Amino acid sequence: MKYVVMECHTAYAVLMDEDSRFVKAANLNYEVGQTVENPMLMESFKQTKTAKLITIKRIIAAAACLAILSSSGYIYYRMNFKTYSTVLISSESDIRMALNKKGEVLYLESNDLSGKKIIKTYDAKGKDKVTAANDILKKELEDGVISSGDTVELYIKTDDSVNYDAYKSEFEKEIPRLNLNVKVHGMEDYKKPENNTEKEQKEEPSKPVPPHEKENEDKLPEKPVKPELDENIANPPTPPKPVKPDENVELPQPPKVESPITEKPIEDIHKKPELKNDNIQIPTPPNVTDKKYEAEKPHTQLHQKNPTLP
Amino acid sequence: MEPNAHQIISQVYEAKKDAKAADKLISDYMPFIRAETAKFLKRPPDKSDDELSIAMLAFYEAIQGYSKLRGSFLKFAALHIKNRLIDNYRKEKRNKIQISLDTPDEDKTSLIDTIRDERDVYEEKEIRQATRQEIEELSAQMNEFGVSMNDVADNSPRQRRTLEICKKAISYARNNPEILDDFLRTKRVPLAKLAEGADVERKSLERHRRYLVAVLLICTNGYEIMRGHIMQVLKGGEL
Repeated sequence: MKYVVMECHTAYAVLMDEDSRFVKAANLNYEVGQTVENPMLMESFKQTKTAKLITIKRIIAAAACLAILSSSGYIYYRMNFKTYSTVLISSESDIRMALNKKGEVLYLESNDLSGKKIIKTYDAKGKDKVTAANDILKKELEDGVISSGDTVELYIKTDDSVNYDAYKSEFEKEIPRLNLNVKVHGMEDYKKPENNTEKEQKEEPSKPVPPHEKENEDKLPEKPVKPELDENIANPPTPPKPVKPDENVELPQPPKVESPITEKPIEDIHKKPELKNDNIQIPTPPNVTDKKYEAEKPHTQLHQKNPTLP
Repeated sequence: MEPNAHQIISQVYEAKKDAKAADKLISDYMPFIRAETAKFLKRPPDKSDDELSIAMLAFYEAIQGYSKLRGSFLKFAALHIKNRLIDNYRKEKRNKIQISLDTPDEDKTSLIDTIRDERDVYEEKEIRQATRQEIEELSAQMNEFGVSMNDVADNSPRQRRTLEICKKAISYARNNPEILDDFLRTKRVPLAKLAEGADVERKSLERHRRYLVAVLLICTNGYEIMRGHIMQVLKGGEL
């Protein structure tokens, strides 16, 4: 096909083909108006498509990497950090070993004080189960928690029966070297000793009890009953009897306040003596509205004359 | 990333839109293009080397095809230049069985000198000159419509089906001179009339409006050489 050179640029030329199509091609020293054949046409860069493709490829690659990493991470976690089986060393103190798939100790735990003491001093993390069990029993022997010839029971909990058998044979082989009778069972045979809780209670430091509570210690577990009045307890002070108001004594007249809230109680006070004693002369309240501060006067006088009044 | 990477990227993005900026960027990076060509040729390239022209075209293609997602522009351009030169080398390799006309003979005379040239060089030169004049006129008239050759090249239909749709519309305009007159007078492509008359989708014509401007102008009086060029392949000489 023949092309007419329509425009020349530094790097390319615009050509028109016989099909009236305008194209860009390499400017092989062309001149405008020149007719050329077999030009080096410019490649239409499918930018958006390619860019999208690159992005999609990158996303897929990233997702694949993430999947590989997460799966390998999960496998690593399962192999090393997930508790796969548990071995309970039941002697005087119950120590529970959490094991990973490899049979290495992940952590130790115990509810007994002696067990907790051993766990504190011994770091079993990452050690083989048999080594850790031996070390724990050695420590127990040293501490006097158990003595040689005692029976130690091991309870294994695992989902895999093959593992159970393997663990059982390993423990039975290795631990008797410490002159201990070893019995290995499944965890389902384990019965928590009842003494444990009592032991703990005993070993726990007792709280100081006040002397008057010590006397009633036996009654403590009983259901709390409403305490009866004790004879020893001094009678509560009787409230002072109301003194009969003297005829001569002029009752203090509360100052009349303008506010409606304070007016009511003033009326009540005035009413009581009326019911009890008709002889009492109730003085009429001074007109406070006119002389506001004079109402306080009788109050001070009363205190001076009769200091025994309650 | 290079220290002036951001500057290059902004220049590249500017060059994507503006042909002059693209030319300037290519001129600025000529040493780089030469270096990449020299790496391939294993010698410094001459001005007349096709490889250098191809490398320049590849650089321009890299400008057009670059996006920030692709990383460093210069690395992208270098890779594209290399690939383009390799493609050209393979293409040329296929034609190696053919003897070059420039191959020197035993008497140190090239083959081209021995072959009788039937072409009329003077006539060819005259035609070229006339074509150039026509193209210059067309370019000037296209500028009035706000369209450049570069735009037309970018806007030209690439698929056969789209080209056929455009051809139908142009043929309809040629058969109805009042549409061409209307086009020249209003300086607007009568898309609605063309779509209705040629029974094509208006949307397809709208997408190639700038291309239609160029071809409709060629169809008007005054561009005989170019009209003759595009009519050669059309059956019956009708566009």
